Amino acid sequence: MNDGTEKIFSYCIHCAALCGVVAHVKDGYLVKVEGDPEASNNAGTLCPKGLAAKQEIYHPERLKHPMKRTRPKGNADPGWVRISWDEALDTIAEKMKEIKERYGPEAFFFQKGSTDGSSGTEWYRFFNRLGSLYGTPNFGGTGHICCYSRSCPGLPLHLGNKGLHPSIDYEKTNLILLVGYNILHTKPPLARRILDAQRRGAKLIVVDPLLSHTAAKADVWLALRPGTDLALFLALHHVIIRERLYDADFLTSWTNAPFLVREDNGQFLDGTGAPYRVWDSKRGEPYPADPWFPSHVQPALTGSYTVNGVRCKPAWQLFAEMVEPCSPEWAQEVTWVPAEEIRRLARIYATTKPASTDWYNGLHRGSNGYYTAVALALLSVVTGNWDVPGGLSFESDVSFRDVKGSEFLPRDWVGKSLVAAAGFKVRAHNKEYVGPMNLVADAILTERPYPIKGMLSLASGLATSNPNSKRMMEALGHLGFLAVGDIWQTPAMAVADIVLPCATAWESEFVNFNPPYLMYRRPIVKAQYESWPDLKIVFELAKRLGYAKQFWDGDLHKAFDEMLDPFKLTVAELAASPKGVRFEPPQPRHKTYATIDEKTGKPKGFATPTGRLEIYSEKLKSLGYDPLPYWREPEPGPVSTPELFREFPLILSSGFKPMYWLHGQMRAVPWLRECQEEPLILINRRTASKLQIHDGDQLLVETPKRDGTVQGFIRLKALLTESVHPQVVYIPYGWWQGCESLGLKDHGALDGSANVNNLYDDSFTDPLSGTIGMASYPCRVRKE
Amino acid sequence: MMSRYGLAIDMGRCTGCFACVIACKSENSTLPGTFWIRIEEKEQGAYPDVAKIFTPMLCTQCGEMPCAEACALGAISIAEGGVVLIDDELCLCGDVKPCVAACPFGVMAVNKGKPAYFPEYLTPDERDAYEAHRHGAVEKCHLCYPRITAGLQPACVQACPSKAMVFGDLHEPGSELAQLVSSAEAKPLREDLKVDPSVFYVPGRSAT
Repeated sequence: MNDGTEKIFSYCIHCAALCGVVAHVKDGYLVKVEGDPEASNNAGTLCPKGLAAKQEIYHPERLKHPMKRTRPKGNADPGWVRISWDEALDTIAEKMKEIKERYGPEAFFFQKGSTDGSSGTEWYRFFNRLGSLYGTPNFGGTGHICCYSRSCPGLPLHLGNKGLHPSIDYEKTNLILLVGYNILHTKPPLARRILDAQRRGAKLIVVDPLLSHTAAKADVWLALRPGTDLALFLALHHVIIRERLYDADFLTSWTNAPFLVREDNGQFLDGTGAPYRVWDSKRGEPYPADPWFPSHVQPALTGSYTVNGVRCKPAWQLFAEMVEPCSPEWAQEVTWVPAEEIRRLARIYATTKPASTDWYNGLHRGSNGYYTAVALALLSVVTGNWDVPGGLSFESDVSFRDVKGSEFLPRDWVGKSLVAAAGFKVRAHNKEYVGPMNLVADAILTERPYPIKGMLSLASGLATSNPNSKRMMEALGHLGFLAVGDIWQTPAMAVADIVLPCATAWESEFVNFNPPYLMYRRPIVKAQYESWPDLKIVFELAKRLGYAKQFWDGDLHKAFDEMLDPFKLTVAELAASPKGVRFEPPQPRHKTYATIDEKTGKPKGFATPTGRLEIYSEKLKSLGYDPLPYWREPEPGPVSTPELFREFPLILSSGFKPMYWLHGQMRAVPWLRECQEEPLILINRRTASKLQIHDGDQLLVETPKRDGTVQGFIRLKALLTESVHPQVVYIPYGWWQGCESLGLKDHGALDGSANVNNLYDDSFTDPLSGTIGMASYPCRVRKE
Repeated sequence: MMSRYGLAIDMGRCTGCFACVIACKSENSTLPGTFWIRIEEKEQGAYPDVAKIFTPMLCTQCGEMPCAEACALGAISIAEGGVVLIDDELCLCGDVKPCVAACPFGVMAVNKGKPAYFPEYLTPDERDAYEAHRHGAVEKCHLCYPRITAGLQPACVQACPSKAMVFGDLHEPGSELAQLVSSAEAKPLREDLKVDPSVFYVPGRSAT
């Protein structure tokens, strides 16, 4: 450009959606970031987070250099002293070695946050690699408060989706059922596609206790009692079965619906593993399934049979019996959604083809989240919308080489993790997600199952992002050694030994697929102050711990080359052109389960224990869990813990994000903060009027512990609304940071702050996923 | 015929995400507290029969210009393309701003905040960009005049993740904008005022 402005093509990684951008850089300074019109994800559009890059990079309150504390923990002023990167990293490495020697590698914890300011979704691979080499199975991430219920790790037992996320073809679908998912704001590049689908005639149906931005655009908004989604889905199944709207052929051919289950012990007839048995109704006798059977067999889906004196029923019969009492009238009582609306939704959903389903962490904030997701996903299965174009499909498994280094972990790591010790049998094999974080707090404070003595946390809202912030802060304060890296000062740093200034994603580099390009993302400007990209911290630490060889001798580009190997490309080849190398990912292939495996001559099937989609999970049964998604009330809740609601009568739900925030980040960026200056509590107008609360009043919100004593209190501004039920209040989470530029002070993390996680006792958990019950928490509010 | 640039905003597609607001900030470096576009959020009805309506509010580039009529200093005029511009050098009123009061849509802003978001930490381009916004001056949207005269779309239109905004030439009958207006699908915000705006709104759904 003639005025000397250079255009650098890159992508925004403030969320997982990845939008192509053009950065305008002049004399080494970023002038602005815009959407790249040629990028296929976002077609020139860009959300507030990406557009605000400049204020994030040149933010005067960023951490500027590494620091160490000079006063003992507990002191209000840590006495921060500026140190060199060498001193910071040498100290961390030394402490890590010391802890490993004295307590074993599992006593050191690796914590990372979500993406956004930092590109955690990219560099976590190398962070994990470092932890694997060090030998600890204890990695903290965000899955336990984000997406367990959507992708990992339990659903694969039913669906064989290998931890992949749902991916919907919005050009083909005729019905979009969204649950607990403010998708129009949280996946910005999908907004125009979904609105286009709706314009073309596809129905948008949103299940959410809150009239979210997405619900506001829906053809049908089903406003339900928080945490009762499972009851709604069971009632949908009830109607679908009663009105015979299910796809019996699909159930018979591709699911374990016809498998005979013993009435006495809930196991499959003839024990676990193939052959299973189905009841051939043509011949009136059992027939083996390996898990397939010839077409002349006509397996019964319903009924009760006796084989060799053992009474058994097809799995589908058990499923149908489970949902039999779950009539729309029953569900109306439970969910507050009128029975007629439930019936109408069941019919529309089951008769519109193809119908898609998607959900996100709204479903993952309750003590019944796991089974809720199972029941929802099974709606797609029973109606034949599974893995068809425009139905429920999953992202394709095209990816970079796995460099997480699990092969370096000691053999016995699965049994050693905190997750395994806490009895989460389904989850223990997944080292990427150790949560819930209360396990870590417990281990630090009780030294059981073993002590956790040290932690390295990068880009994580340790103190504010997890339920029961008080206990987390207390635990962090007990650590022998804590190093925290971030862009800004965070509440957890008050008890850290070393603080590291991290670069923003814009100042760091990586390789990724930014459709339609495989791109080398170069830093668009140099890292400000003395900040370092998280990735550089990991590589430099690896050297000091003696893992230089396994870290490509510190050469980032060699590491990227290894990641790129499956594509037969190198980072130099990507870097050679401004946008990288055009790459057409394989078109999503549907029904690959039906292709015949040449070796066995049988269908490939599904990556589940039985090789079929699992209506009935015998595996879960054998691990001591329910094999079917039985209704269970959310805990706590007005029905499950009525005693807590006597003094705390309102139902508190959190979750929910507008597009300009990602979780608890970026409140310090003034352009974004002007979109919403104050933390809010959404309260129904009728309730507010009874409590003599007016718009903008400051409210004190209090919640109980399990035993009824006060767990914590926070302060928020009232926003009067009709978007929630009179008994429900909504508190968007993520508020701790101030915004100096607008004269807004830090809120803090604990009592008196605006941090909703300070209100939760963490002892109400989903026995399967460990998710903490946050969907329907008791609370009371009053004007101060 | 001369061009007349305008917008149609589809309220059925606007999700109130603020991308337009930040795109405007980034493009025009407006001062803290000064907005050339903002989102109005309204609820209609009562739970659970409630609708939420988001309305992006910006200068509608009225042909009748009630603001210019109110301006005794002659600072407001129509430029090429039908865009209403304020001449910063003539915009010299004291605290009372008749143009701001005359605007039926409340979309004229007075610079009264800090001189920049991070006044002590300006990048070289920010030094110039923020200096262009004088304290006390009245400002408003000009449809990103430098962009549209260079053949680009206004920053808000390009950024909008919902693609809720259509930019075009009202005088070009084949344009999507002209068709939305001539079919009366897109309407002025307040038709009754008869101020001849260039910005039109496609109504969204309201509460049942």
